[in-house]
Amino acid sequence: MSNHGAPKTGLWSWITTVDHKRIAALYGFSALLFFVLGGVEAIMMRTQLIVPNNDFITARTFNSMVTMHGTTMIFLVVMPLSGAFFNFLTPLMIGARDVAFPRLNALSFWVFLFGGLLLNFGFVINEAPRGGWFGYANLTELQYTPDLSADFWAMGLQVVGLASLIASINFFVTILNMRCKGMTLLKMPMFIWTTLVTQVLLFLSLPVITIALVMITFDRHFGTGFFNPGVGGSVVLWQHLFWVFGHPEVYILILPAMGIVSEILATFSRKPLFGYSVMVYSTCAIGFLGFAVWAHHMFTTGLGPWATTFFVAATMLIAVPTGVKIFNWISTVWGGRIKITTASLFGLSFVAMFTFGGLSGIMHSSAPIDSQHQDTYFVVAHFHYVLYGGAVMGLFGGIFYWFPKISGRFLNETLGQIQFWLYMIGFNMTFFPMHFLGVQGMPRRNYTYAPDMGWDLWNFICTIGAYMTAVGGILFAINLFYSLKKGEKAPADPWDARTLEWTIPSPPPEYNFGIEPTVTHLDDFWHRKYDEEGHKKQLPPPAKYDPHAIHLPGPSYWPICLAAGLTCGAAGFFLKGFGLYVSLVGVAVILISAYGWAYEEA
Amino acid sequence: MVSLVRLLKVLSFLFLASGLNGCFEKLPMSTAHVVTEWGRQINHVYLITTVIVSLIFVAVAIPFCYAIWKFREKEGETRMPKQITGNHKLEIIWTLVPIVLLIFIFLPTLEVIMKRAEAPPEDSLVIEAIGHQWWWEFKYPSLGITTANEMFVPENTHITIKATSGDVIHAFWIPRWGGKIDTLPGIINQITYVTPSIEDAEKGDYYQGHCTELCGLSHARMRYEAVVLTKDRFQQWSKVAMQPPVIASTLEKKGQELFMSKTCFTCHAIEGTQANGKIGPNLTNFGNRRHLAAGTLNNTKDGLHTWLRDSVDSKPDYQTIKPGSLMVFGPNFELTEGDIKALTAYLQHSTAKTY
Repeated sequence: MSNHGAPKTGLWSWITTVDHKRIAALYGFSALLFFVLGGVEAIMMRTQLIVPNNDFITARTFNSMVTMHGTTMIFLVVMPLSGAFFNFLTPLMIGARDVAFPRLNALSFWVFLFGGLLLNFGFVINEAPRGGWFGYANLTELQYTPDLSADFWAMGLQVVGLASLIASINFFVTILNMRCKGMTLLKMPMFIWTTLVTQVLLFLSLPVITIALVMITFDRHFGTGFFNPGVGGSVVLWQHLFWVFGHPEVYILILPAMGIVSEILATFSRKPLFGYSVMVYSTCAIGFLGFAVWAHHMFTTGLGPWATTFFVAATMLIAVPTGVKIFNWISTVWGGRIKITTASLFGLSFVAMFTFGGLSGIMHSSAPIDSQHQDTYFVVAHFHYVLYGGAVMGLFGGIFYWFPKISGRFLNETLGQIQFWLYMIGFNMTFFPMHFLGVQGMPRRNYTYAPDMGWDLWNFICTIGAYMTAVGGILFAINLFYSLKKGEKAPADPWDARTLEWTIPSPPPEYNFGIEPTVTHLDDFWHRKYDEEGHKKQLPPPAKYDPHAIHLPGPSYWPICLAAGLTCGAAGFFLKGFGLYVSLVGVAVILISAYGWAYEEA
Repeated sequence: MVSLVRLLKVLSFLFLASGLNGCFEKLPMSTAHVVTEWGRQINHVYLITTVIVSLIFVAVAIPFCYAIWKFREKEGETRMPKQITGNHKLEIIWTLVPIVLLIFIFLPTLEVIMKRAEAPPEDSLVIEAIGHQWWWEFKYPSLGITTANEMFVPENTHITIKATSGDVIHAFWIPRWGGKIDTLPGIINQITYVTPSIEDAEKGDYYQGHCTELCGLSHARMRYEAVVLTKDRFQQWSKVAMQPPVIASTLEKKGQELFMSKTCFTCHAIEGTQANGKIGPNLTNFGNRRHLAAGTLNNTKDGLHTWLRDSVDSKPDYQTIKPGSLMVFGPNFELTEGDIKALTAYLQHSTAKTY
């Protein structure tokens, strides 16, 4: 059965879709909604800190903002936004018609969305998580957090993590098995390589946080005491488990953006990515070393001199492949013909901001220096340069670059460039002074500060910068809705790009490729368009094919049902009184959905 | 346009100047103005690292900016760039150069780490620092002293802080003394200092400390001070520190009676009285403290009034001074203005000692 008779518009078509491009849109749209939420949380914190001893929000609200801003931006914004790109681009770039498991793909989206809602549900009943995005035990134990806030956090993350785990297997299989004819591993676009390594990091690191979250949940509900020193547990154990996951997570956040930027810089410089194979190896090296540096988050816990030395050395070592990447990006731009667009501006700023954040990272790779920086605003500055100036800027570049392909229309360039400059200036105004605040000893996650510490001026400037960024965000929202309806129509290959997704119409037809492509080169599309001297070649006329003969998986409502069952089951786990019944209903829904799914004709 | 450029220049100069000034100004928690050997060791590595990463930044930023400017697409340009796919020689260079530079950061780092791991001398003054939500308890096992939120130490003396926690994870940090150490429940972490020489022998030198691990609602209100005294004055202080309060007036007498009847004594201890509570800070030295509620308010009549009123009148988790504080009272608990006056007299005068 093929889905040519299935509805193409309307709510139901979105709920039941298994098309990777539509799921990408769902991921992207949800991630941007959560981005608004995380942004509002950031603005509330900055407003609270604009003057000392402010009482704009209470300590309780502030701690929730700290916790949920971090959790949201990491798990509900950067990861799913990267996921949107994985979804949209993976099949298109490797010349496939969909991912390996289309319904599983839909399932991972719905699980992510419901998990994200569960995480945030605490706000509705005024029990929002407030133990930090890292949820250090034993603050999250029942004794010190007696309400449900820590349960919303632990179970919400559990569900969101499951979504990433499902997706990671799906993309791993897709990339390894569904590449078109001729696309060997070293002919894959750079973005596909970073995607592949990200999936490996995901399915190796997520089980660790899953276990840790199970343990804290058991501690809270069954008194197991894994992290309770009173009964022989260890609070350091949680930190090890969390960061064994948490540090690879950092690379899960940054690698996709690195891939995006590699594509953007090559296209807009009209040059191939400099040192492609070295870029591939350094991506793998970063992924590998990323598992050996977790304890640099724990230098102050008293690891002992030799463990500290090992993690110092490993952390410094990771700077080497990262540095190679930065030099290769610069060499990609060097000698090119750089077209300045919003996309390339975001791409170029990624390199600059990421380099800056990477260098301040080298500073606290040295454990003695870290003991002065850890948990101060210096660290806040450092990782926002990497994850905001880096990952988020790269992702915005990706949005501007691929939006014509996704929607068939350009995003508005004028609005885009205004947004870019507001972001650049606002971002640097917020986070550069935080280095000073860190050196002046201002600790993180403080809902207020005393006026006699000399931190007033920089905090004020930081907050004004945050407001500028917010204006940039509003401009982007306007741009997005305007361009979706009224944006300039885009041709199939608007940027004279290099990879397969630009060979097909914008937006792509449901089946992606009428005839499955065959590639002979890295950047195959470029080589089809230009000869070795750079002269334009005549493209052969498109071959004829019958769209109705192409088999596509049919729509299915089982993924959303199964996701709802899972979330129900998780939420029932900690609800007081009728929780058991909620869980049982959840389990029943899971079983019915799995049965229906298994016997559904695909 | 010209005036705009000039304005920008002036602004950026001001920005830079105030930035540098901000970094090097002697602020209470500035890590740039360290006073101990440990702090100086860190800043030595810090300086080397800062110079190296700044050089790298310049070495990256200049060619990058140049490339963007030089190779940007000009109006109507149709030049097709040469399709260069890589250069192994260059790539080997920029793999090796960072490794060499990192060695220059790694070696001094290693030296400091190993130096810090050396065992403290036998005669090191041991102080137990115990983090609580949200205040600090300091015990001097060799002197039999227990105090809170102000850690008295003699100048130029080797001290060993045994840091642990009574509840959740906190972190012990006096920025001007060097790097921090986590205080973990169930684990004793050790950090050593040679205390700095004194600058103000009359009043003693106060160094600001702060908890740096998110530990619940009032994490921001968990400050303390290290107080450096001359060796003689520290001797005197250690003799009087645990002396019982001296009642000098009827008001103070009334205050003491209130303290023992209004449930204060269940959580707080005052040496020589029946108050022996262990949940809150030990108040034997309260009269000498500069601040109360862990560095939140000044220890003045007004400060104590604000603190008591807020603690009695507001519900836990929503106190305005210290949200979530355990200083809570049962229903129908009342403290009149007269009660507060008497308690203030008792706590601020009877427990003040001269040393």
